[in-house]
Amino acid sequence: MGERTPLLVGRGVTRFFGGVAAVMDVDFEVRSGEVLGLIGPNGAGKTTLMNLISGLIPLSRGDMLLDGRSIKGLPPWDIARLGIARTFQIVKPFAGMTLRENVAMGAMFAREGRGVPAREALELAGEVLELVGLGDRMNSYTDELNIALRKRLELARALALNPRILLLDEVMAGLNLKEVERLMELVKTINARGVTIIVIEHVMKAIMGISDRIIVLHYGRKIAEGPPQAVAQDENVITAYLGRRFAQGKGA
Amino acid sequence: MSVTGSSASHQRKIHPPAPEPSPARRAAWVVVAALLAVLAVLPPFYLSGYWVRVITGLLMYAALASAINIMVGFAGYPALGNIVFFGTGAYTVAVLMVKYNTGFFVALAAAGVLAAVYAALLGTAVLRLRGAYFGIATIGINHATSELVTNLDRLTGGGRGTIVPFYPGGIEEERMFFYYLMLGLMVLSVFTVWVISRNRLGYGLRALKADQEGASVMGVNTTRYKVIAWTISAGLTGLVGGAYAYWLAFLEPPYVFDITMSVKTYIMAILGGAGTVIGPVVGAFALELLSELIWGRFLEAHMLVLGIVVVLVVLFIPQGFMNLVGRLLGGQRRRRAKEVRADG
Repeated sequence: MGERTPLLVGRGVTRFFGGVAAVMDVDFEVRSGEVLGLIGPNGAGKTTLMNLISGLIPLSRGDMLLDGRSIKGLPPWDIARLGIARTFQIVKPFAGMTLRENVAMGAMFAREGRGVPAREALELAGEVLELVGLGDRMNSYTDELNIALRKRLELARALALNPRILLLDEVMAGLNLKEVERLMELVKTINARGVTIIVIEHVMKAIMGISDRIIVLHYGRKIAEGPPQAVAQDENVITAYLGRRFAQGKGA
Repeated sequence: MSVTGSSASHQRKIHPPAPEPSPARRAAWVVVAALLAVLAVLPPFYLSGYWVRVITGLLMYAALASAINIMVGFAGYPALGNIVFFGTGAYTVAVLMVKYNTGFFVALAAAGVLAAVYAALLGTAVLRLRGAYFGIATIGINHATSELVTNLDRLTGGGRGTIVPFYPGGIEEERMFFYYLMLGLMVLSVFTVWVISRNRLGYGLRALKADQEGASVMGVNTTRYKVIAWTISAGLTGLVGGAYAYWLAFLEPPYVFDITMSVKTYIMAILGGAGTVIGPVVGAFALELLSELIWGRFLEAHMLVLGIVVVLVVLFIPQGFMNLVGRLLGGQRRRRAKEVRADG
């Protein structure tokens, strides 16, 4: 699958909460332009790993490199400005601000801190909202949106940061099949524009469909890594997460 | 490569531009502003001394409410003890004028700077606390500072109080001076809030008010923004405190480190509309005029009546007057938009 350079590298990434290792000695590489899937049972440490990447919680051990430079210990806003944007599993819309204002935040505080003035950002926000299909609701407030649209808003906001790497934490959870398909298309479109994506998802159809590679976590450790088909056949993964029925369905 | 990069700017015209007031609307604003300016400048010329003094106090409260609004309305931090910067400013002016024979305006500038620096120093530590915990911490800081001022009696006159040099001029002239001084400080406060509301700082603060983690992964340096907000809020509050010291001419710690005054400005900000630009001014005028009216009629029970009014307002229009007005106008605008769509 080509010699794409690693954009983001994790070495021995570890995080303890008290005595519990939520993430333990995880090594990973994210290549520029790929979609990396992150799966595993509840409590496997997927979201913790994402929080570690975006700097919301500090590493207990190990290191994280963006373009070969360590980003260990950087606060979340610096990491955001270096080009790593994210969405949250439990969406965090900025209540009291319109959709346009929510998304404009991204352009205002974008990469390297060279954000644009508020006025210009508001115009750019319009374009991103069009992209995610919220163009006709720019001046609505966040509490007027249903969950599917809020997930789109979450995505639009992250996109407005003009990221190099986009972290998607269960953007498809709670959506119906049609919405999932639409969102998958959107993620593919974004990726086609050159944005590297790391995605956590429990909707197997979605994650198998969009990922170039998948990493499987279990009890905080990496138990498998590889192309979707290979991971789906992996004995450890089947026992820990997917279950027999899924594997047989896939294998047939 | 990029999603919203400069390449996208060619197509910008296709998309609806950011809302911009129409020329007619802008003209209307200019007329309203001019009327307000005339209305604000005139009172000392035709009102009695009593009412000029009432309005001067009102302008002072409007300035304080605007300043606390930066914390309460924008950043979402209940800075209940914000009056500590008022006291700090007041005592800065008193000490500089009494002990060092400084001119008033130099002392006033120092009051603003000192209050701002005080907040910047405290902020890095105290702004780690959230919600009520932050509010309680600021009350503690106010008490501690008040005690400090009381005990530094060589410098501040302590519990006996201190007499600030009188304004050199006739009664008429003095009345005008303090009226325009407070008016100027109010305009400065409101203007500052207006500037904040329209740029990155305002957006960052509103975002962190809604969700601090969400704001931080969007590139907002939440720690720095909170400290900047408090510093500005404190600087403005310190200036008003400094002006108050000169106006009052006699200071005692309980006068200027008075938590009920803080609470009052807090209520004004919420009453008018926290997080709006002119809401706190509207709130200050409404509450002060109301309290003036009630004071006249119910000398004994005026705090009780005032309390009931506040409870009623918070119960029925918790978002404040400005939101109520906005909702009414917004409803109209939406209806108008619908009509336009139906026509098309």
